[in-house]
Amino acid sequence: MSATPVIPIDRDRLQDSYRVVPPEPPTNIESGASTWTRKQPESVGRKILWEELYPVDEVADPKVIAAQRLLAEAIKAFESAFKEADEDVVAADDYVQSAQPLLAELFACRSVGEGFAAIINALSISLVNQHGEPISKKQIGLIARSLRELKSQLFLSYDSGLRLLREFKKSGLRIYPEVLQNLDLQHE
Amino acid sequence: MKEEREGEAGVDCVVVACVAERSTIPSLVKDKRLCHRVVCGYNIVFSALSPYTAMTIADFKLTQAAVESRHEDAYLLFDKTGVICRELKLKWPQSKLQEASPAKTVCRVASDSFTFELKQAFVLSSKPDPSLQQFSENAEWFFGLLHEQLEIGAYTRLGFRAIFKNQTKSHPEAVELFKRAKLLRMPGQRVFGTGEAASDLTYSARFQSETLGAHVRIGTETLHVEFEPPHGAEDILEPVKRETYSLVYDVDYYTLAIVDVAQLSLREWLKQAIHAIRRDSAEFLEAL
Repeated sequence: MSATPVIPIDRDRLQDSYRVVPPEPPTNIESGASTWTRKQPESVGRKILWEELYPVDEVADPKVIAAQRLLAEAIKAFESAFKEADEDVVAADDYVQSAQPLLAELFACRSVGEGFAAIINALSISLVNQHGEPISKKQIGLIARSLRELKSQLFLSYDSGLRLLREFKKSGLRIYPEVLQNLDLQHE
Repeated sequence: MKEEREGEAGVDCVVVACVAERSTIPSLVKDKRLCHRVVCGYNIVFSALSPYTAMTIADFKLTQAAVESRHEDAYLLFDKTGVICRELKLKWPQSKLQEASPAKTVCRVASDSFTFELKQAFVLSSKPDPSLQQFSENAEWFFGLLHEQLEIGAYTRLGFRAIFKNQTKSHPEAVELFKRAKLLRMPGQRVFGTGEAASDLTYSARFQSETLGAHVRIGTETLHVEFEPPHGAEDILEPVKRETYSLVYDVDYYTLAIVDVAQLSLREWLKQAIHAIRRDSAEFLEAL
């Protein structure tokens, strides 16, 4: 008694046998992928703004919204400090002090991104390491510029964040907890 | 009350029930937003029996989703294609390399495909989850991998395309649904000596600012599916010959300005895109 022969099924051929016939005139049922290759409007060449890329706050991650709001406030404080730095060092330091609680709140949003976390972490520690001493005008300017950059590029990678950390370090900010100051770290 | 409603919506509406508890409304009518209103503490139910219930995006099923990025020439493609394919295989062991030429590589995982080329990359899902959560996760992972391996610094275009379908029993029914959206004025009399009835209706429009754009297409569609079992497999597989009819709402939402990779969380952007597509669907589909 012979066994029934098993017919090998060529899967590729089987797929070819599924014929999806476009109607006349053809619809774009099969063009889901190919439509992408069609000539599309060209890029305008300028960088998109945050508000243009993420226009709807209601559906955004609350941490992202909070980070944007807090960064705006912190930038304002550091910019005010920068303006006062030449005339009134105490007033400038007041503005810097007022930004410290904002940095603490930003620290709570660090899950937004690795670069974001690294920068906020470094800034928070730098200010703590001042032990009440005011930071220089150059340092205030650098922090304001870095926060502006972070606000427009919130999802900065860790590697890009390291570039800013190097700048902080170069400007004399002590970005590590005191017990770790002498460690040989990756971005040194 | 009837006149007010007619003036507002431009259709015949009939008050079919007055004084209904709010909790009973959902069981009375399908679309409570359009079919009832609260007057002096009472729910006045309109048009529950009318055939002219409004069409909303909820009547459509998301059947296809695709996200695409374009970038400057990523020459590292020629060095890193193998690494990317290996990572895809590690993440999805069941994935199949469908095409791998120097200029274009396509990897398939069930109903999803991942394509990367010198100037563009895209993820296409022909059976996306309705919330797009899984789709977003997959796309974010894939674009993250490309960014890392191909060292892409900025995208010249990001696009998200969603195709929704409202399947009907017949082509005339799809045509009728299209007409109800009142997107086109149809001829009132016989044209070209062919008859009054129009078929294969399509509405297409592009809305574009300096930095964002959307291309909307709404149309009737007939899909013919024909399957002949391969020679020798007739006893195992049944032949299939079927036609499906639907009204399609197809939107391509895209950016025109440069998007720095540090600005982009693809998951967040997709959330925004699908929200905009669903929200603004009312402008096209709910024209009753």
